[in-house]
Amino acid sequence: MIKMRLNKKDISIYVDGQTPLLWVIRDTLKLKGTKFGCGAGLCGACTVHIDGMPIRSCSFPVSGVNGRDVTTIEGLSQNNDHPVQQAWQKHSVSQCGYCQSGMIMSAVALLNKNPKPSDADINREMSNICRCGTYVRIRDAIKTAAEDSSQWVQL
Amino acid sequence: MSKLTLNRRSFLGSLATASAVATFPITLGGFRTVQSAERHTDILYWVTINSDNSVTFKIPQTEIGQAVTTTISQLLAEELEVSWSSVSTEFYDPTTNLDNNNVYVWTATLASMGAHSLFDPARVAGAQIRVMLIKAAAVHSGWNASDLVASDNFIHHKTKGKKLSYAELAPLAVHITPPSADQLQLKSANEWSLIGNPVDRIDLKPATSGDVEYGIDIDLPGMRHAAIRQCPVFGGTLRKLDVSGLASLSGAPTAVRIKGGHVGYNSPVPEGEDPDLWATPVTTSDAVAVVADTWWQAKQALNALHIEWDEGENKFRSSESLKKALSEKLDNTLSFSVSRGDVPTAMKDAAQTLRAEYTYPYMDPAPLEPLNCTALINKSRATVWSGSQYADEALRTIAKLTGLDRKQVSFRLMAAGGGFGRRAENDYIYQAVQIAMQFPDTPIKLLWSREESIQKSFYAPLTVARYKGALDSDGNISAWVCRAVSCQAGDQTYGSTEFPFHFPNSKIEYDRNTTSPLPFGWMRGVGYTQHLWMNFSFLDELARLAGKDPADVYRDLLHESKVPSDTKYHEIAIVRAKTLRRVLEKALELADWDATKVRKGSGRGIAVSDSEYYAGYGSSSAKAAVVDVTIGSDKSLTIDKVSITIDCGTVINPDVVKAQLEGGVAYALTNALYSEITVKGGRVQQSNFHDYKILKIHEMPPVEINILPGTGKPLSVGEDSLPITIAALVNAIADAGGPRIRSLPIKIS
Repeated sequence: MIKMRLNKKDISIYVDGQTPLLWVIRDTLKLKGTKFGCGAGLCGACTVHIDGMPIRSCSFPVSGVNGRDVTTIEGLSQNNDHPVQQAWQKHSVSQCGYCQSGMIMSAVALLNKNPKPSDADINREMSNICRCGTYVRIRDAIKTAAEDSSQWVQL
Repeated sequence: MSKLTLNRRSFLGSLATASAVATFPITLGGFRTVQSAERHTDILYWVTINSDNSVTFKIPQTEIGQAVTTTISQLLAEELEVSWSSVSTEFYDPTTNLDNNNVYVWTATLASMGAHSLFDPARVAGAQIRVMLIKAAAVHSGWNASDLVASDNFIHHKTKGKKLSYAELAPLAVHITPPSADQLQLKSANEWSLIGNPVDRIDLKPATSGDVEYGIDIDLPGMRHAAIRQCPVFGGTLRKLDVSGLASLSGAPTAVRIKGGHVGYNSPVPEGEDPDLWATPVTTSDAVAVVADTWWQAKQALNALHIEWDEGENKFRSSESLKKALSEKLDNTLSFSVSRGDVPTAMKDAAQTLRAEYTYPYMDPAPLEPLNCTALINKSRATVWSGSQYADEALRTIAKLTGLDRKQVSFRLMAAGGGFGRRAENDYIYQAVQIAMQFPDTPIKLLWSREESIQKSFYAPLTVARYKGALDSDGNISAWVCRAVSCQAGDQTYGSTEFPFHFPNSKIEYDRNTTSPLPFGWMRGVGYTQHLWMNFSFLDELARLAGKDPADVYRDLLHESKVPSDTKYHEIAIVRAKTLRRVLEKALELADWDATKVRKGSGRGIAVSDSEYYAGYGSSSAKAAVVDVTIGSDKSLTIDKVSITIDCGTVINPDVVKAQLEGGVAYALTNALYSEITVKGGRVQQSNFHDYKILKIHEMPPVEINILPGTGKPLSVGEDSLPITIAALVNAIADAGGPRIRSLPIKIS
């Protein structure tokens, strides 16, 4: 049995501990916002937070989250109104949208750690792939969210 | 020559004869921004009016990121007179389309033609329904139709201050005969409120909350999961399968054999035409799937199988052997040839001549959502969910495989996590249906791994071209020879033949259908992506050899006096040259182009083109790219800026156009810097994003998009920044003192 706090709720699940967290989130817990892109930790579509740290859930065994806090895109805000989500909407970042849950989770983790990231910080920390190429707007949205960051409380 | 415009039946005629039907709802994928409104009445296939007076539009295209759900909705809403906030969308039903003689006109999500092809049909449908609602209001209330006006989901009486909602009127309106298109007065451009307006995307909010439902997200009661391993060599067959290793594994894994074969075609073929000339047949290799309780269990179980393949003839082929075969082909006569003037004499009399060979590698379009399909099948019914760029063909494929009538088949089109051409081939649907047929009444979701997605794709074709050019004593180009060979069935070589520049002596030759170890597929930008950068790079080589500013050379070549008087389609060629020159001049002005000003180590390149697949091809925009680069003393390449200038006709949503062109620049840079699929022993050597890299944010340059005022039908934007960006980039590298790039991916040192 694995116990975790998922999106602020305590849960217990019976799964093979070697199963990557991604598949537990998607197929066992039915939270579909976290995406599968590569299965090798290369693209970041599966990014979630474990104790606030951005983790590639496709390559992280679920046994590793026992007793820890996991946040997915569904747990980021009640009403799709986290400042990063709002900034993403303001800049109309998304095209196909498939990578954007992971992008947003990565951006939130970056801003939690570094509320005023420079371009170099963004370049270093945002290693997710967007095949539609929305990077110009991702950068703009992170900067917009950073401007608002004084008004938001860390998760 | 493969023409992408179809011998379409008159759309207007089809609507005039279509009956308006009130139907019960079936759930389709789409974006339900209006919460759980009870469905009410379907009118003319395009629109559902809901009981809360909101509307749901049926979008006859796949949402692959190009915002087609938004732009087509803007067209419908503009004429239907509904408020933007009342609009939700769902995807069209291919059975309805095929049963009603292609009522949606253009359903294949290909060739950047969605907005162009549906501009009139969607507006006409919106206007027809508006008129039907007005007539219904007149019948219902006894008012004069001429006293009524539609606005914000109501029919208002102009003087009485009374109104009736669309929801009230819809059940009556469906019995009104739709007006024919020629009886309709569509709004003129100055009356538009939604068209031309950067309204928020329909999927703006679901995209930030993880609520867009893609094919991969389908979840059904009792559903089981399938993972797949295909013969790694294309065309291979299954020789032996030992499943004994599955017995001890969890998740009740079961192995399923999947036969390879002919799936269908990768683009529509006009009635009566030879499909193999107009499109590329889609075939798959044999494969083995494991079905288990979860996908992870199924994927793990694949490793417990012992599979022997008969790899067939392709195991003796590689990308190197193909390059050799293409080179040998270039040493001989090519099957297609167009020439002008006297090339041999011009070469002999030249002050200077130049020769160069260019190559373009195989590439995988690589949408981020791995290929997947969910199927629920029994003896009398098949329901299949997937993101496909060619849903009509998916429906035909499912019907053929199951032996069911297409009325017994329901294909539920889903939003796709990218397409870029890859989802024009329905091979994964063909496989999922075969699996589900072995598990009647059990929904099966087939999901490919990234490795399968890269190694069993349909690829942009490996292409080799040889150029010869001559300069006269004034430094003018007196001869131009381009001979190009490629390896695909579908005709992609128009990129070399439809070059808008005319030379006094020229020869353009090509050949195709060289046996390839990898199957051909559409990839964003298609033939122009392979050929345009080669053409512009060689042109730039000649301009530099002549000591001229490339911009001056383009400007001169695009002067209408340079269009030979005996050119076929002379008038079209003149319009084309004028349009491109206008866009070129604007791009040069906006970029403050001055060839004398460049700093050491930095460079600028420029390219200007349309994507005219043949003379008079109606849907291509005209665009130019200017790329600025710096090459460091350590030979590092920095792309400082990319500017795109475009005339794309009427703009439905300027922010969508901008986003498509920005994204196209990123796609172009990935092509230019990274994308290369190589083959050894018939097998693709790349497997995931570590060795098939995609551009990341730290490499993304600032992008400037200049949309020129345009009129007429909307023109292409989805693919349009790709070819010109690659072309301008390789020229910028040469301008910065870097090497002349003659093969992709770019290597500086």
